[in-house]
Amino acid sequence: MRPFFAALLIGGAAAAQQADPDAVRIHVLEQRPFTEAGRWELTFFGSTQVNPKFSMHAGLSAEMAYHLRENLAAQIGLWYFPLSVQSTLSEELLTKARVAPESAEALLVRGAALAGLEVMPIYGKLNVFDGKILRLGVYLNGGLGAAKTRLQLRPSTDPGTGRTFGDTGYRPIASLGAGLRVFLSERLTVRLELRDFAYSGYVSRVNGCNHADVVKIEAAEAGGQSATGLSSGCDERAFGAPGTQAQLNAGAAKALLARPSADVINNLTFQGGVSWLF
Amino acid sequence: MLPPKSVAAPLAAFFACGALAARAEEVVYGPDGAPTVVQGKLHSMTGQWEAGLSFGIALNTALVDQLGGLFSVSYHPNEWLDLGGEVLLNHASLSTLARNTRADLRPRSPGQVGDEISNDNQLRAGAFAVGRIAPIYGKFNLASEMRVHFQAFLLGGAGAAQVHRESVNLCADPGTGACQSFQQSDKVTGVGLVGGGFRFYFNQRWSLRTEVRGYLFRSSYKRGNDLTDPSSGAQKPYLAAVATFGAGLSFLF
Repeated sequence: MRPFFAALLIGGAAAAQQADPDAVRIHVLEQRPFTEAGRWELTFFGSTQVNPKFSMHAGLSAEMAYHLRENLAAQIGLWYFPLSVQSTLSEELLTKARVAPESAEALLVRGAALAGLEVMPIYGKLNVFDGKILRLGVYLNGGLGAAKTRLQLRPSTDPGTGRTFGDTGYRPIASLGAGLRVFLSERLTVRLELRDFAYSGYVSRVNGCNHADVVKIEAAEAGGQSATGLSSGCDERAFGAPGTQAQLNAGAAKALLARPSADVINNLTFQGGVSWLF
Repeated sequence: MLPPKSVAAPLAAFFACGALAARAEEVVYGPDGAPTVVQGKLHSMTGQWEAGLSFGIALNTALVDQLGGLFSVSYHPNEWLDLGGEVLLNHASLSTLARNTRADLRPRSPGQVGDEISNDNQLRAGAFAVGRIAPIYGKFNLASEMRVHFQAFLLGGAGAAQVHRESVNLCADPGTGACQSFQQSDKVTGVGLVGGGFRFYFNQRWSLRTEVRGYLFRSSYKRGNDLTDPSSGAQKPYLAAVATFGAGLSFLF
């Protein structure tokens, strides 16, 4: 009988321990199976703006990062937005109510280059349908750089010109972001992040031309001539083919430059992509 | 009363095996082969009811300010699925941008024809049947000490909602005088919804639920409206989408 009582006690104790909720509160130090420290990471993202009030942006980006430590990386990235246009709302306001956002609010980003840092203070695990366990990191990043910008001059519904743009040059841009990195393997990760691109929306020149220049261009093109006495750097032909098209585009630029406005634009962008660690 | 000797040994072996099995269940091996613990779910959902209350704000309605609340009740038949119902109540009104646009409208003239600005939908109330599928369960550490368990889910559903529309640019008063009121309509329409989000567990009972969802429904705007004759023009239907961000507490029982 003694073996029976001994087994009964052991079994009961084990069962009691199993039922005790404290039994799951165990600190176990588990070595991470791999480290990011000292490795490079190349990421390709698809990006889309998630606050498209007056502008819409969608595009691609590539980012190279070097992980200085387990949770700190230096990174440089390039963004290109093939779709950078005024929103449907902007065009509706223009065509249906004859109102338009100020130039500072409708400034578009065509491309950007930023360098910055990333910290990954939160580390965790997840599993999918109780299957494979994957590791994840939650990170914050920030960067500074330059952006190539432009303004939309004519709406897409314009039967004569279609959608046209004017170049507004380069300007500084800053970004702050937060994201999630899921390690599919030691080398491959999936990244999801939200980035706020902030840039100055002050516009004083379009295609290198100031307000006085575009007034001259509009008048000259209406008369079938080229404008004279333009300021240095002003490119009349950037407004389009001689005649009506250049006149209409210069007229739109004139309206945008008539009341120069300043604003800091926050372009909130969702990015999803994959990265390769090496 | 003690069992006879003939069954004592098998019983002893059974309880010993039970003890070993109970111990063995605590160890779950990770993908790297290292023995780990707490890799199973700390918070089980199977067979539980859930009641939630959350606040939501519209993300993509520049012409409308929309803020409201959502009450939900659902049942979890297993770890990955819950099915239930929701009631939505919103306070919705035209935004500052819409009011500024109205203020800048040009005077009406006879024979002037215009189209209505779309996406002025005010989603004021609704009731939906909703299902959530939560394939991802995970945890992370805050400051290396505080463990946070979470669940990521996708949701879908359908129901009906009351949608109020107040035109931004089409006047309800005939004639060319200053516009005192704008065209309005109310209707109850079928709504589909899709979304996704995270649940962060405080404990087995309480959790914080955050989600982004899109309400999809049929709406319309007027084309070819004589600005001096509100009854003119034809409706152009389109699929409206109102995206919202919501956050709230849920209680499991």
